Amino acid sequence: MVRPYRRRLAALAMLLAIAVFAAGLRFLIGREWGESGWRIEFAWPAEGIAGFRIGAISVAATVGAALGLSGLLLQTLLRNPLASPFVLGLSSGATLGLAIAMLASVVVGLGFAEGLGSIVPAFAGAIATLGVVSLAGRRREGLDPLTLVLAGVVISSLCGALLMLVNHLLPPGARGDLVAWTMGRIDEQPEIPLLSATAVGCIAGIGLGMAGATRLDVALLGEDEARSIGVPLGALRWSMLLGAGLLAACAVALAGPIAFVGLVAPHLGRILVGSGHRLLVPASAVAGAALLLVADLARQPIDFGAGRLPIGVLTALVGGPVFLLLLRRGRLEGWS
Amino acid sequence: MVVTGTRVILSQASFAPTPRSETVLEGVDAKAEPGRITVVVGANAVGKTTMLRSVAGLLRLRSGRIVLEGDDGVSVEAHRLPPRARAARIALLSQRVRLPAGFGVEESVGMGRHALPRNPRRVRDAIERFALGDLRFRSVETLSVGQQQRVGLARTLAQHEPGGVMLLDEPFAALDLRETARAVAVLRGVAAAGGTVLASVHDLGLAARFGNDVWLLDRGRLVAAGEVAEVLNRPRLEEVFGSEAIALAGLAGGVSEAFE
Repeated sequence: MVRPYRRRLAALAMLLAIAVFAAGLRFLIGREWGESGWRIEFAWPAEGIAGFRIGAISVAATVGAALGLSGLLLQTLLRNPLASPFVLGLSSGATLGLAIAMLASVVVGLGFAEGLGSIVPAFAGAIATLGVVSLAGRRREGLDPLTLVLAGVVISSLCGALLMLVNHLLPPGARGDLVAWTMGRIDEQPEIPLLSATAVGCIAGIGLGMAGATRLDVALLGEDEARSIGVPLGALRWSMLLGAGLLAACAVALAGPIAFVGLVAPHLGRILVGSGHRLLVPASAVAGAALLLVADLARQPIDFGAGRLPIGVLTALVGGPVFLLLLRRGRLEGWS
Repeated sequence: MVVTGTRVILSQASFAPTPRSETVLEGVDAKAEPGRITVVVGANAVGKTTMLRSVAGLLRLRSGRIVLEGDDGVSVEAHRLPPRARAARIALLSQRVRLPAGFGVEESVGMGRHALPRNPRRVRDAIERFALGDLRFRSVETLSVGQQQRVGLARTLAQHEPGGVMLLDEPFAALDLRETARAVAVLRGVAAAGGTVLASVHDLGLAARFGNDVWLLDRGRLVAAGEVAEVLNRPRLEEVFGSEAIALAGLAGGVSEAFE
């Protein structure tokens, strides 16, 4: 049975409340240096510290929302429940694009690797990988979901190898920055133009997605049926592809590659509000934000002596089993 | 003037399933009239689906023309119509009905009205006509294949505007006898109201009883077109399908008299 609209709306409100609650906790919880080393403190932050925490909350919420929206657009675009920026190699492509830009900035002094300009190489990398993966997965009757995922895995591995090459070519002093960034990070002092651009992208994505919700619903039908119902899929697919690539690129430029949030957030949204895009679009964004805020909160006390656990490591460690659970529970059935 | 009937006219139409593949049907001249049900009959892979997709304006013809001639005297080619205008003129049910998971029956049927003015009454009416009222809020992925086929039919009916064309690719393939009878009655009602129904049907006995007119396809050409009684005679069917197959169809379906 599909749930009544009012109950789905209430589920969305509950999700939003969880995200706000997690943000509130993150504002109050921090690490303080004491006599016995780092310790977790639960208190209203001092004046100088509050700004850092707000910075971290803003980055986590924005990156999570961007990944959730990007994942949803890819899943709808490809009619594939396994699609996400990470699984399809967009995040790897964006990471490689930025790493190459970083190398170029070190070697020839091109300034594309920082700030707002970093979106350009990240976007180029994301779209290039999605193009290759889509070409590999194209069949006469449409895009084959399994081939797409396999192609994404291969392209991610290839990007990983090229990333190592870039790392090898970088001067030793710059290597640490690249390695730390590829593990994912929630910056407490984010670049405001980049953060603002990503936030604007998310708000625009939610607005456009909700306005075109019924078109996105119809895009899930068969190719012929969608077209005969009156949805010109060509233009819609291009706009979804560009939107997904841009949001993934912004997320990578802000926080590095973060696994599984883009995959799990739309599924969490579907469980709570159903498959209709009018509620699923905002739900995926809010679920992504909530997941990353909770992940950032959870990693605060996890320290193996080398600082807090990088957020990308945590999302991969938790997201991997969740992904397997989704497969096993059959939550990915009924597609394609 | 409001269009109250549309004639589908094929003139020397040649069809191919993709731009690069070989032509499957050549030089087809035929008409599907408003107020009548035209069934397309032929062996597997003869090009029935390709023909219906081309009539729907989703595939370009290799050569020739297909026009929709309204009773207002205006003729248009389907592929030249803007998406919304085409949706108002032609409703298509594909052979493989795809219903996205997570949507209820009512939502899925309502998708047929996407490009058309909102009309909840027509959606509810389509649901009731295919006896889906009790399943209105069921998620479509929990339905049987036959029920899903009925949802697809109801969606096509919800999209169909008076005087328009309804294209159905094997609409009864997954239905049991009772549901087939119900669907036949609904589609006869569509034709009686002035709609043009063009459907591919692989069951010859059913085709003979369901259709008013028939287009018989064989080996890349239209063998015959006309009223069912004229076209579906035993010698011609034996020529197309073989005498053993026709004998088997008569025995299995108890429909031998339809071929006499």
